[in-house]
Amino acid sequence: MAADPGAPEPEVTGEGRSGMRRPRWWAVLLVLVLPGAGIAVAHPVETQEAAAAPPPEAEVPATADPRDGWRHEFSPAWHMATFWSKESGSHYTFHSLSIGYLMSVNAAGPFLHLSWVIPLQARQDGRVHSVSSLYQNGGGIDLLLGWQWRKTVTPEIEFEGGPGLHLNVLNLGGKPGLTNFNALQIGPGGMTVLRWRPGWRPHKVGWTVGAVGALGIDLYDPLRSNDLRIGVALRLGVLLGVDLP
Amino acid sequence: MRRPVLGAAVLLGVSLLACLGPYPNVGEKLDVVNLVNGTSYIALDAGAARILILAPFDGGPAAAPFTRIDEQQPRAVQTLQGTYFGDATDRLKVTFSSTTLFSLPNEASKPVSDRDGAERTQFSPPRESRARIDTNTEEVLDLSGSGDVAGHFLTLLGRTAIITGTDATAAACAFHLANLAVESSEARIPGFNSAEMTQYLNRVEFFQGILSGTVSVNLVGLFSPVVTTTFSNYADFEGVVLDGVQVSSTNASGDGALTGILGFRIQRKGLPDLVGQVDYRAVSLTGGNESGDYLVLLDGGAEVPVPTGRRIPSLEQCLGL
Repeated sequence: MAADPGAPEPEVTGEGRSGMRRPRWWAVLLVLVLPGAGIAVAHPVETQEAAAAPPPEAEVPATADPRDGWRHEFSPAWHMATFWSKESGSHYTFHSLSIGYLMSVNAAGPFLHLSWVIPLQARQDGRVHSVSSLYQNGGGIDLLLGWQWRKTVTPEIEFEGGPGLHLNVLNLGGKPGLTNFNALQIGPGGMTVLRWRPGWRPHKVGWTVGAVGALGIDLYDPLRSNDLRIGVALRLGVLLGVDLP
Repeated sequence: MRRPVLGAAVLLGVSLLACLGPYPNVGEKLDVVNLVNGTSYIALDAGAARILILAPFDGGPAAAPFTRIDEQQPRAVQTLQGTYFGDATDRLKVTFSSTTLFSLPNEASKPVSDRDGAERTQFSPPRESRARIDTNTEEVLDLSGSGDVAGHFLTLLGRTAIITGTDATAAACAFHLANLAVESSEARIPGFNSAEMTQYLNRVEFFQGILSGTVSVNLVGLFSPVVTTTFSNYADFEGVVLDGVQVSSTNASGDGALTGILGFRIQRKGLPDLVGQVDYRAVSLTGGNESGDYLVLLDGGAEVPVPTGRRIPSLEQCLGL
C-alpha cells in the first residue's frame, strides 16, 4: 500500500488544514446566529491557530498580551427592569431570568451582551403578579453594546469593564381578555466582568468561568410615546466560556 | 418558540412605524364596561347626539347605574359610565358619579401612526356632575346643570317610531341610527383607530354591549392589516341591535377598503322592528378615513347609497326633533 508518488501529497495537508479552519468559522457563525440558545464558544483566534501548530512553546510569542483575543461566553442571569411612567406616575418592576451571549475583543475593544429575557414576576405600584397568570408568549431582549477595557489581576484572573448603549425590549402577550404589555427602552449603560481563565486545558479545551454585572439607565421609549420617566435595568449573572481546540 | 419570536418581530415593526401610547397597567382588562338595563334617551345639539341610559332609581340616595354617550360628527365618541343618585331632601336634584370615560377622539387629520385611538380613563375619586330634573314625563326628560349630562332628552324608542316606510330617507335614517351604535362600540375597543390595534394580532377579543350582546375584534397581518369586527346581538342602547361583520383591509398607512355586511334592527315603540343591513363594499379608506357610500337595504325596499361624512338627512330630521 505504498503511496502513489504521483498523487498530490499536499491534498492531505490541505484537507487537514481546511478541517481545522471549518470548525472555527462554524463556531463563530454558531455563536452569532444562536446566542440566545446559549451556545457560546470561547476561542481566542490566536490561541486556536496556535493550538493547531505542533510545538506549544512556539504558539504564543513571549510578547503576546494575555488580554488579547476574543471572548465568547454563555451567561445565565437574574434580570430586573424597573421603571416609572410619566402619565400615570406608575412604578413597574419586572423580575426575569435571562440567558445571554457575551462577546468582547482584545485588551481594548468592542463588546456585546445580548440576552433573551424570560419575565417571571411583574409588579406595579406594590401589586405583585406572576407573569404566567396574566400573560402568554412573553419575552424580551436586553442588548448592551459598547467599548471595553481588560485588566489582568493575575495571569489567570481578568477584569473587564466599559460603557455602552443599552436597549431593553419587553413583549408580554395578554391572556384572553387582558391587554398586552410591551416596552422598548433605550439609554446609556455599562458592564463589568470578572473572569477566571485557568491554564488547565483538558483535551485541549480551555474554559473560562466568571461573573457579570450590567446596568442600564433607560431614558427614552419610542414605542410608548416616551411615557418613560426613567428606567433601570440590572443584570447579575455567571458566565461560562469554552475555548475550542 | 415561534410566538415569542413573532411577538418580538411585531414589536420591532410597530416601534419602527408607530407609537402605542402610554404604558398600560399590568394585567389590565380589555373590557370593563358596566351593563346598564334601563331607559334610553336621546338629545341632539347641532347634529351631535347625546344618549343617556338610566337604570331605574327610586329618586332617593340609593345609586343606580347610568351611561352617557356623546357622539359628534365626524366620528368622535365619549362614553361616561357610573352611578347616579338623588338628594334625600330635594327629589329634583340628581348627582351623577362617573367612574369611567371611554373616548374615541376625532383624529381624521392625523396619520394612523400618530393616532391615540380609543382610550379608557378611570376616575378615582369619581367625577361628580350635579344636575336638576326640570321635566320628567313618559317621553321627555329635561336635565339642567352640569354640561356632562344636561340636555333635552326624549325616549329613543318613541323617536325611532317616527322612521317608517322603506324609502331612501327611511333607509338613511335607519343607517344613521345603526351607525351610532357602531361608533359607540368602537370607543370601547382599546386602541381602535390607531396602531395599538396590533394588540389584537392573531387573537379574537370580545367586548360586551352596554345593553346586550358582544362585539369581537381580530387583526390579521401586521403590514397589510385586516381587521374583522363581528357584532352579535349587540346593543349599547335601546332602539338598535346589530348583527354582522365589518372588515377593513388596508396597508400600514390605513389606505384600503371596507367590506362586510352588518345587519341591524331598529326597534320602534308600538311598531314592528325595522330590519335592514348595510353593505360596506363601496366604502374606501384613505389614511383610515372613510369615503364612498354605505349601501343600505331595508327589508322590502331597494338598496340605497348613503354617502359617508355628514349625515343626510340629519338626525334631527330623522327623529323629528
